[in-house]
Amino acid sequence: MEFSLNLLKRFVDLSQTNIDDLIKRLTFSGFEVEGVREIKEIDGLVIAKVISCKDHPDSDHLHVLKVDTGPYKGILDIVCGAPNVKEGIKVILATVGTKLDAITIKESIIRGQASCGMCCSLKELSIDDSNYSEEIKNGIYVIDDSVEIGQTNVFEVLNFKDVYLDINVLPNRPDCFSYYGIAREISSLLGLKLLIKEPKKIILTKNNTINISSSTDKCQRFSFVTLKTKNMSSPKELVDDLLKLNIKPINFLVDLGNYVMKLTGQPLHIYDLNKIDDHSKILVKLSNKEKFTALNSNEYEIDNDLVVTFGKDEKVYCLAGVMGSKDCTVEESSTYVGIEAASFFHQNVRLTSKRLNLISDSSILFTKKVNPYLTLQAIELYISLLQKFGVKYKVQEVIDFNKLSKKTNLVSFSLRKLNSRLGTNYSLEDIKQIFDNYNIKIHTRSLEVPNYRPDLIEQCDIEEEVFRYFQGIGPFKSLEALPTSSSDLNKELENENKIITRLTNLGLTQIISFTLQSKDQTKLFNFNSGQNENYVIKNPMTNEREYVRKDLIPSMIETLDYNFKRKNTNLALFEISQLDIPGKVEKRMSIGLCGRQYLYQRKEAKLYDFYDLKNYVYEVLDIYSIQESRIKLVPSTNSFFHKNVSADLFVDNKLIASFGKVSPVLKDLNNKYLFAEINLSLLNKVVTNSMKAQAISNYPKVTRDFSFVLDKTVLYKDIEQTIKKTLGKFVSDVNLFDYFELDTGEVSVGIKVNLVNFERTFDDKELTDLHNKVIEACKTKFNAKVRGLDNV
Amino acid sequence: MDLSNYKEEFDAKIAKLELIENLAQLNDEVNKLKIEYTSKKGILASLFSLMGKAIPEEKSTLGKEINDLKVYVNSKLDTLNSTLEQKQLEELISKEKVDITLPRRQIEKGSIHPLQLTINEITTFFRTMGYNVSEGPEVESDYYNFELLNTPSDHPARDMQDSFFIDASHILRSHTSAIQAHVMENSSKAEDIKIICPGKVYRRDSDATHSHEFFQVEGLVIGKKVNMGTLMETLTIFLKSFFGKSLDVRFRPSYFPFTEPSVEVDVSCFQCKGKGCSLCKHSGWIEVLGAGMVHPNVLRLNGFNDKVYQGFAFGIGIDRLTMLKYGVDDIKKFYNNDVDFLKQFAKETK
Repeated sequence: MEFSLNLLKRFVDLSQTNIDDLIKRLTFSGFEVEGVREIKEIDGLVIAKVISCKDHPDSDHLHVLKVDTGPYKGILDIVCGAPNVKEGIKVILATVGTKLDAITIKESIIRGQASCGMCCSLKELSIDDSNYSEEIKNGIYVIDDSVEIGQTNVFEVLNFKDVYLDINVLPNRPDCFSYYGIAREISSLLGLKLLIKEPKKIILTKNNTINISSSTDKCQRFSFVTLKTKNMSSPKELVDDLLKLNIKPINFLVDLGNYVMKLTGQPLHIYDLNKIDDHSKILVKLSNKEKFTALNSNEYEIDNDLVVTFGKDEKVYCLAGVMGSKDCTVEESSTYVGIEAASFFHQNVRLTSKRLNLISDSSILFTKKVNPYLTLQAIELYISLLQKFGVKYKVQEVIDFNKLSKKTNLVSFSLRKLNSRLGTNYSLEDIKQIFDNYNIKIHTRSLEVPNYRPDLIEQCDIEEEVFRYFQGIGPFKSLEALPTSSSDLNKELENENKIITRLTNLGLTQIISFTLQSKDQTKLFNFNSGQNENYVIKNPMTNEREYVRKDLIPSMIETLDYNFKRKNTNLALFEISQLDIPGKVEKRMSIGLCGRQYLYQRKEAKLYDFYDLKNYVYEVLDIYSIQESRIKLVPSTNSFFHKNVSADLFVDNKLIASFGKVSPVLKDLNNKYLFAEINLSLLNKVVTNSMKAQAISNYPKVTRDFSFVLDKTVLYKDIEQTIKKTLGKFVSDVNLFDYFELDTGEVSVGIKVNLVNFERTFDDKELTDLHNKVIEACKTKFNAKVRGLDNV
Repeated sequence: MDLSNYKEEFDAKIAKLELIENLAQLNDEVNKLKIEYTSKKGILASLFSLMGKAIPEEKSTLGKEINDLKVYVNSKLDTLNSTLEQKQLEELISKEKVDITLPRRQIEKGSIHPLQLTINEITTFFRTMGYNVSEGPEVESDYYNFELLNTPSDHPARDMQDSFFIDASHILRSHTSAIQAHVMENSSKAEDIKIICPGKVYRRDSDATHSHEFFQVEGLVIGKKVNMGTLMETLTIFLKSFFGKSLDVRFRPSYFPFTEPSVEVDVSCFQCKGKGCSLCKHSGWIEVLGAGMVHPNVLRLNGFNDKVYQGFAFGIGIDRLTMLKYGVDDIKKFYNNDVDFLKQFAKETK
């Protein structure tokens, strides 16, 4: 909220205070000053009078003026295009050399006529004109005739000169969304004299003709005063203040209400009672569905909103706390008015204001919680100001509907606890000054807080006051009180970190992509078929980010596409993320490959293929130390993948991963992409035994190579198993060293077998026997041909 | 019998051999010479066979002389052999030579995402201080995200954050503080808690420094004596470890519904060293995180006795810290995943 320093000075004595010190003090006490806007005098401006105004001979809208700047520069010729310029008015003249935001004024000839300056509009002077009349907005600023010409301290004379502080008032201090509140805070913080005068108390009237009630607990208080008076347009003094408060002047009685609101933080609403036929009864209630025309002439559909009704037929005259009805608008002709100072539940005001998209100064304040104990004080201030401006009035009835429980202003307090939580060692003497400044009275074991501070409820609120007052530098910084503990190993996170380290070392790059995606994206891939639900956002920012993802591959597609379009076509990426799916939370990871892998300083490159992808999937699996026998690998049934170049991987019959090449059937996708999606949550649940070291043979190993030519349908896994079975206890390990397709459609497979004997050194005959057995087995089982022997 | 002829002859042969440069040839010649003199039918053997024919008085002298010749020949041949071996080794070594300035044969490494780097660094820091790591759901009930954190539905502070709704009572969590509530719920309510909770959070907000999805790390400590001073010291050490020792840390009183007193924490601008620049908006300071003493009502709502237990909590914006640390000007760079951007962090990937 922006505060005018000139206005603040009326309520707190800032005469001895440096602005920078004030800003610093506020900022370090929980009231961050986020901006300072200073309206400074501009050299070259002067107050001048238009002494003659003639039409420009060569233009249909320009005027040729003689302007008197008094002793400053005498009479000057000016060409002016403003529609509202006329003889006799006083204006702000920018003389030659004046630097304005947009232009620098120069002597010029405009269509043959000399011009030595410019009559200025507020816009040209960079002054916000949004609360001024249309005439002023569209033309030059016209100065009150009483102002003397020739003065060059123009902004001071016109009361524009000021410094505005943009103070970030936090939600726990609704009292400070007002001038009185901020003035009190400044007075307490800096120990300055408060200049707020208490207005004269008003006395509640008896035997009233108006009955006030509420049928809901959303209105706990409704103070109401009826006045016979006269209305008018506001005096200049008030208008100047209103403009500083960013309020558009309307008429005196209304303006005064707004002024009091800005000062006290209590919104007032003024009703023209002459326009309300039956005002014997005021009822605050939650409305039924009905139409309502507000002060701004717009029609609204009200529905279960908090409203103020008048009369027996309960006609709605106000959307409580938001805006009044057009039907009881106070105008300059009004003579009989009712002033409402009420407390409406902030949540209702918030909902109404939000639903109808109707925001007023009043609704903003109510939304931030108005203090219900200060309604009468606001009315008292209103009445005292009527008096101050010399307006005649007669108070008819003063009624206070009040359902508030008696407020206890006592807060139990322990100095020991304060020191314990703050990490300080204050004595009561150290902090007594704070309590004095904040009007907090000290009793035994409790404190009495002032009415205007509803945020001070319990001990910690007092601790905050002390902490704030000392600008957050009080506590003794130490780790002494930190509980000692050791960090348990979180296995799942450990494993994630290992995956990240391993895959990045293998050349893959980690990505982090958005959880929210479009509906179309969610349909691209489905890891667990049969499970199709996504969470959907009710209030998305865009359709592109409307669904909570339940699979990672769609994001990987988006990322590969993004990079591909930017001519980065060699990609090896992975992502690890939590997925929130209806019914469960799951950790998954995805891998995306495309293009070539560069090896050895980009001297060698190979295309990523299925086997690279398989390797990365198994590198992840390796981290979980799962025995080979528990892993089942079958061609993937997921229609996203190419059915011959993909696999589903199961551990203990649970689907752990699906990976492979994109199905060529999906035409929109780049069919060079390879993807994997892995369920890490399931992997984390797989129980594995810790590794045990195997016995090794004391006798040397022997290696035998086999080269077979086989039909393409024979699976390598079956050959490997056959070899292992045939060799029995003599096999150490079986490794593929060569694999390629022949022109015949067959495949050539090279297998290296390490043989081991735990009892003695192999002799040649034994080895030849084993070798032949393997060849025989493969011939019988797979119809294998031995390369170099069987005519191949 | 005079053996000096033999010796001279042998010396002449040796001298000849010494002129051979080709090592293979030399090797052959040395072997030949060896056979010529020392084999069973060699010169030395034939000399020894003459011994039988010698007159007995000369026998011992002759024997000694032949033996001297044998020793001489053997020692000469040995010397020659070791010289040869030496030369062969030298040749072998000189043949094999690398250019140590040629580039290493490196497999191109990938890179860890910059946000992950920051999460890892923070996690490591707090784990060495004995904190445990906790995670929680991202689709979160209003109850955990707000209610248990002293922010009931009618709380004005609800307006501070604009959340994404799934249904009337569920949102995408707007802060990792929601994890706190789960941890406190699952505790015995009579034990110390020391956790950090990294994770993704969501708010309806988007510009150069705000993304609708971003990362936070929440920290929570509950104990019987932890206080504002403990919090301030913890964060000071952390920030100095993260940004550098020479940096200053300051605490500004602020407000959050779930902590009281609350602070916002600034670090001195590491770009301009506090002098004022565009990074710190000419203030010399950069806001990096929010923290405070756990509000007693949060303790009560979560079943802790606030007369006995007190605690502190802090929330660190991962994206912001990463942007500051690596000089990244647009938060969207983290989520576009342009590999040209990401690959730069291979240097930080260890």
